Amino acid sequence: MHLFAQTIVLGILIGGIYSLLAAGLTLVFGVMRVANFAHGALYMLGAYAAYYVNIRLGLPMGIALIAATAFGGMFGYGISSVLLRPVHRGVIDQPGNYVLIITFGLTLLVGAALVAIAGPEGHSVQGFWNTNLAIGSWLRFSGDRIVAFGGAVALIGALVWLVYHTDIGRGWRALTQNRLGATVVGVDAVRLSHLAFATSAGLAGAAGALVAPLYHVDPGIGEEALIKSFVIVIVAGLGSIAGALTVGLGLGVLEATGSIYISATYRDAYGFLLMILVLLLRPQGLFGRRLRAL
Amino acid sequence: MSNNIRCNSNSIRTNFPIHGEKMRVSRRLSLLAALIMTALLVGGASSGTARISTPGQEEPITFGIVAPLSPPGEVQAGRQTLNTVRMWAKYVNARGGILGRPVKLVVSDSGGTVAKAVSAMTQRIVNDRVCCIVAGEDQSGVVLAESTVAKRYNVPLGVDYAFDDGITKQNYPQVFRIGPYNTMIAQLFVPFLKKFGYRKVAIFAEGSAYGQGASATMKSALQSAGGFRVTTVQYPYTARDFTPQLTKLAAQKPDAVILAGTSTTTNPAIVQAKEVGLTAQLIAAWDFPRLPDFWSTVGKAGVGIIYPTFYANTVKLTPTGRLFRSLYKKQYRSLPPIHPYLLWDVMNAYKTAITNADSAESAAIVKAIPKIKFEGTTGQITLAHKPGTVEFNQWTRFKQYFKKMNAVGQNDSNAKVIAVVP
Repeated sequence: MHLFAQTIVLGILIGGIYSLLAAGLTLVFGVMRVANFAHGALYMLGAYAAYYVNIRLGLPMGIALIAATAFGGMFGYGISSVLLRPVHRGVIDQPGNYVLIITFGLTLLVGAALVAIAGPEGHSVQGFWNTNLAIGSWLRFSGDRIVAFGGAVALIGALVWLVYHTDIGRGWRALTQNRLGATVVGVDAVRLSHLAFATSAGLAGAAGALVAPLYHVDPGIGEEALIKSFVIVIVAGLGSIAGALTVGLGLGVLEATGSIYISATYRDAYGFLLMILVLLLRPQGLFGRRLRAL
Repeated sequence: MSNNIRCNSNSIRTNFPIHGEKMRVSRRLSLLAALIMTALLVGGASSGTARISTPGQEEPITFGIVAPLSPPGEVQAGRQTLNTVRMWAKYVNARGGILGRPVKLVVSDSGGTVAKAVSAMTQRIVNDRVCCIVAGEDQSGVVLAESTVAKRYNVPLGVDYAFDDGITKQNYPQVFRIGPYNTMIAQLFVPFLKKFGYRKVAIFAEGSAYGQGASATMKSALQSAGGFRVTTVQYPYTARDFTPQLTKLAAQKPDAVILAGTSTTTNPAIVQAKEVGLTAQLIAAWDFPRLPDFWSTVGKAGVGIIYPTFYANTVKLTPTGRLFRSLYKKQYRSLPPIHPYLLWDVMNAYKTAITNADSAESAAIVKAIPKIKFEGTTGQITLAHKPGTVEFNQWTRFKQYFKKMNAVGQNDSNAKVIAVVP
């Protein structure tokens, strides 16, 4: 029973980070209808930004988190306004392929640049709350894990507020439902796409900073983040924020329980198995219908 | 010609403005893709390859060095490889080279991946016509792939710090190893674990060729010895969060957990083990705690870790070993760990084989390698030849030192030796 409780708690805590990562990815897909393969690289950039601010500049991790979010957001805005400009102008035959090539190339570039700047070794940061906690003798987790989860929940809450209670969010929802129709009635699709990409990148950067104390910072951390994000977005249904949140938490719990009660060897496989089942039985995703009501 | 193109382009734009625009962009897209691919290829080739040679009238003897110089490879091992082989080439060239010919190194980056390593090695053999290859690699999966290339082209492949049994168990005459291997390491673990009373042992293994090989041989050795209860937990090598697996291990309350993976995964696992309350003794399956980023990534969670290695300050070095140690210390202002010692021996094995064969042809070196006999850094080097076993073109005379890190910031030279086997 103790082990089960610990498993569920750990699954939820990691699931919160998964949800944050997937929410950003699905936002871009919903608004722009393109898959951003640089999402893992943006997460990695956030982790490195936090490392630089915290270790190299000696500032607290709270500042590092803000810096990583802002840096990610600005970098994302730059990608959207410069590299994805032809997509926004609508002069690309196959925007999906164009974005795939650009963002995949960007991932390689960012990885190589970070190795050149910070070296190939792993780095650690000081942490937000660098202590190990225990409830009774059976529930154990670190303070940094609690902060990472709390930060993820707060940022997801901010995103939901942005989507459902602001003009920007209304514009995003309109573009998700019908891009041409939204443009005809005066929605500035290009500006809102830039903002969606910047928001997504900012969330990825924040996620990188939040997990930096837990996983260390090295040039390989983006790969797993990208894979998990895509699994969640596909299972939830492309463009569904509510779905991404739910499936993110569910994937965390599924991986934790599967690792402990079936086999830890197949931890990544549980998510892929779920994805295959969903694609076979409900190709639009578990929350696919709600996709239109972003 | 350019006028024609411009003319066509204009006519398309005039007649089909929207479609023409898309065609231009589509062409631009293709060009962009081609440019990216070209940049990646050229970038990869130029960044991964470096040439070091000493001018001389004689045609140089060219050695191909394939080492992990970028992630996901173990870059620190790659850097040590590069430092050592460069020092060796400089030393040998200053003394007239081999057979009166200067030594030239052609270095390639394996990136720790099979595809990149095989491609780099093939290029070195075909384009640069290297006499032999040095596998400056600790990823066994990569070295296993390299060994098939060595066999195909009949070019010798010298290995020092990749442990998988299969590397020499394949019995390819082209492949030799002056370094430890998994079965031997596992067998030397048994008396150590018995001595310290670690009977309930868990193996926490990475899902790589090394992790799988190490966990299988360790499990086999412990079960054969009897008296141990062994469990194995494997994880994907891309993973960074190990809390579920470690929680499971903590619930099983083992006496010791053996960490068999690369430092990229084992270092966060050490921190997370403390997080979930795992109180078992952590033992590294290889000497990654001596790597420079150990303390900067694990902090105080690393205190108390035990690791096996093959060198200690008490080792009696040969004159060759003492010479190497002083050269290394002079050059890099630190004492060498075991990996550079073994690599120095691999390079001297090549020198001996070339001298004995009186030829720098690959085929002649392959024939000469089984008969080499020379003074290594820690003893006389001869290779065992037991066909059908791992001891084929394999040096076998190792002692395993178990060391313990008792304080943050300790390094290999001041870690406490707690056991020596045999």
